[in-house]
Amino acid sequence: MTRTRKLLAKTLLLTAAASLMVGATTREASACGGAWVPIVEEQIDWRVPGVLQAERLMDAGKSTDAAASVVRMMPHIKSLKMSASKPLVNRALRVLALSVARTDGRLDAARQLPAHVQDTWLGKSAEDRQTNLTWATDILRKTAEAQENDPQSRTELAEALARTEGGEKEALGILEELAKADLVTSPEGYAALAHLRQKRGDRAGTKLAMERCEAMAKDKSTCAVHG
Amino acid sequence: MTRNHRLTWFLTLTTTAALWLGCREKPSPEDATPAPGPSASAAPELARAEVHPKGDAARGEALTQAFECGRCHDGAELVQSPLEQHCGHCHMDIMNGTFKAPKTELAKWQPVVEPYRDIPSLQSSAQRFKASWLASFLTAPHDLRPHLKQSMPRLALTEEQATDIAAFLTKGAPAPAQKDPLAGGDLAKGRALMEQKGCPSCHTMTGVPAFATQPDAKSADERTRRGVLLAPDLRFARERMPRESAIRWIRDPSSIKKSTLMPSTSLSEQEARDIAAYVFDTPLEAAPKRAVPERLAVLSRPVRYQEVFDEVFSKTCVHCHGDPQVARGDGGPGNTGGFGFKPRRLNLASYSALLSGMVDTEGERVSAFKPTADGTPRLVAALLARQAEEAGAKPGEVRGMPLSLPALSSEQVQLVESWIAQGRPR
Repeated sequence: MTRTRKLLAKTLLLTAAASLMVGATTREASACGGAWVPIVEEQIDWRVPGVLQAERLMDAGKSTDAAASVVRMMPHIKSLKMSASKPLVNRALRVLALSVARTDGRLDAARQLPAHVQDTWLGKSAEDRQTNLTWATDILRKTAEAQENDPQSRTELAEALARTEGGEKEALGILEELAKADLVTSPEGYAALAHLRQKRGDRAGTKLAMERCEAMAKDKSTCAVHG
Repeated sequence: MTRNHRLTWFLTLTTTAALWLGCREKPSPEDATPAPGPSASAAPELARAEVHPKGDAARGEALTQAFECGRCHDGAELVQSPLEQHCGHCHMDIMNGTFKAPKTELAKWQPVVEPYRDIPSLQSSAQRFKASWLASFLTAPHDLRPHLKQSMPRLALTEEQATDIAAFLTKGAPAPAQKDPLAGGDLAKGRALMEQKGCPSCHTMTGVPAFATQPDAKSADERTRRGVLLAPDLRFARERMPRESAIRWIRDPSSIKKSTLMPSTSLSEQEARDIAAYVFDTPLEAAPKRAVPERLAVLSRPVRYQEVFDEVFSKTCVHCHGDPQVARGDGGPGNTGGFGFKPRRLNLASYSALLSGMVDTEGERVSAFKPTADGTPRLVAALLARQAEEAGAKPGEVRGMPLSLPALSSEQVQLVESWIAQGRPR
C-alpha cells in the first residue's frame, strides 16, 4: 500500500512537473473530450523527417525497412484515409503500400515491429497477404488518381496490380504505355513488365524489359521475374 | 502550413542553387559591345538619346504580376510575393536570424543562402533605366554583375511583353534633355576621379584599362561586400542609364534610389560630369569571347543516381524542380509553374520523380531523356544550352539550365550524360 502511494505520488509529481514544463511553452489550449490539452508552440513533427527517411529507404531498395519505419511511426495507418490536405499521410501511405506490394503482402519485419502493431503486415496467412495486397493496390490506385497522368504513381500502381489476381491486364496496359514513352520509373516496374510479357509469351519484349531493369537496378535480384 | 513544412521547403531552397534568379548569359560581341564611344571632345548627339519604345504601361504592370517580378525584386510598385515565395526576403530573414527556424538550422542555411540574398531593387527604375535597354535585356538577359552569382533569368517573354514591362518600369521617366548633359566632361579627369573616389572598389569596368583598385568581394565590411555584389559592370552603363540621370546619380545616388548601397560623394557637378563622361563615352574594347566548354566523353566507370544527385541535382536543380509533396504543393517554378512558366512537372528531387519526365508544350508527358534532333538527351541538351548561352550563343529552342545561374562544369555535365548513357542506374 505504501509503495503504491509512493508510486502514485511520484507519478503525480512528475505529471505536474511535466505539465509546468509544457505549459511554459504553450500559447493556447483547447478542450478535447472535456480534458484540457495544451498545444505546444513550435512543436516539431518528427514524422516529417521520418517519412522522408522511409522514402529514401524505399528508393534504396529497402522496402521492408521503409515499411517498418512507417508502421512504427503511424501504428494506426491502416485506418487513415488519403486526403489532399494531408500530404504527409499520403506519402506515408504510399511508402507502405508500395513496400507491401513489392513484398507480395508479406513484410519480413517481425523483429522491427512490436507485436501490437503487426496487424496483418507480416502476411502470415494467405488471407493476410491478400488483405495486404488489396489494401496496397487500393492506396496506390488512389495515389495515381490523385496525381493525374503521373508516371511514377502509375508505374507503382501497375507493379501492385501485376501481383494481384485479375490485375495483370490492367498492369500490362499501363506499363506498355509508359514503356513506349520511356516513362517507366523504376527497375521494379520493368521487372513487372518483363513478368507480364513473359506470361504472354513475348520473349523479345521480356528480354528488352529485363535489360532495362538490369541497367537500372542496383541489384539484379530486383529483376527476378516473379509469379 | 506547419513549421516543418516550411523548414522542408526552405531546406530545399537553400541546399541548392536558385534557378530562378537570372541567366548569366554572356552577351555576344555584337550585343555586348556597343560601338566605341566618342572621345570627350565629341559627345554623342542628342539625336541618339533614348526614345521610349511604344509600350503599354498598364499591360506591363499586369505582366509584372503574371511573371512574378515581385518574387525577387522590390520597388517599382511591384506586387510582392508572400514570404515563402519571395526569394530575397526569405534569404534575408535567414541571414538576419529572424526566420522562424531553429538556430542550428539557420546556422546551416546561412552560408548557403548568403550569395543569393542580394537582389537589385527596381526602386526608381524610371530614372535609372532606359526603356529600350530594359526591353532588350528582358528578352535576352546577360550577366551585368560580375560578382553576383545569380542573374536575371531568361523568362518566356515576347518582345511586345518586354516592351510593355519596360514601359511600366519607366513610367514617368524624365523627358530627354535638349542638350547633352555630359557635354564638356573630361574623360581623363573622370578616370582619375574614379580612382581617387574609390569607384573601382565596388565597380568593375571591362573594356577599359584596369584600375589600380579592384573590387573585393570578400571584404570584411558587409556594406562593401554587398556593394561589390550588386555593383554592375560599368561598361553597360551607357546602354542602361539615361544620360540625363548620370550626374545626379553619381553625386547623390540615394536621392534617386533610397535603398542604394552606393555612397554619396562630395563631387562637384563638373567632377561628376567628368566621371559620367568617362563611363558613358570612353571607347571600350570588345568583350572577351568566352569559349563553349568542351563536351567530355562519357565515363566508363559506373555512375549511379546518388552520385549525380549529390553532385548536380541537389546542388542546383531541385530548387526549382522540387517535390510538391514537401512544400505545400509548390514544387518550384520548374515543376508546378511560376515566373510565367507553365507547370512542366519536372521533379528532380528523387529517382522515380526524375524518370517521370515532364509535360511538353503540347501538354503531353515526355521523358526528360527524350533525344533532341542531334540525339542528345533533352536534360543534357538544356545543360549544354546554358554553357552555350554563357559563351554568347543566341538562345535556342531548349532553354539553358540552370536558369539564371552559372552553367554546370563540363565534369558535371559529363556525370549526368554518363549516368543516362549507362541506362540511368538507381
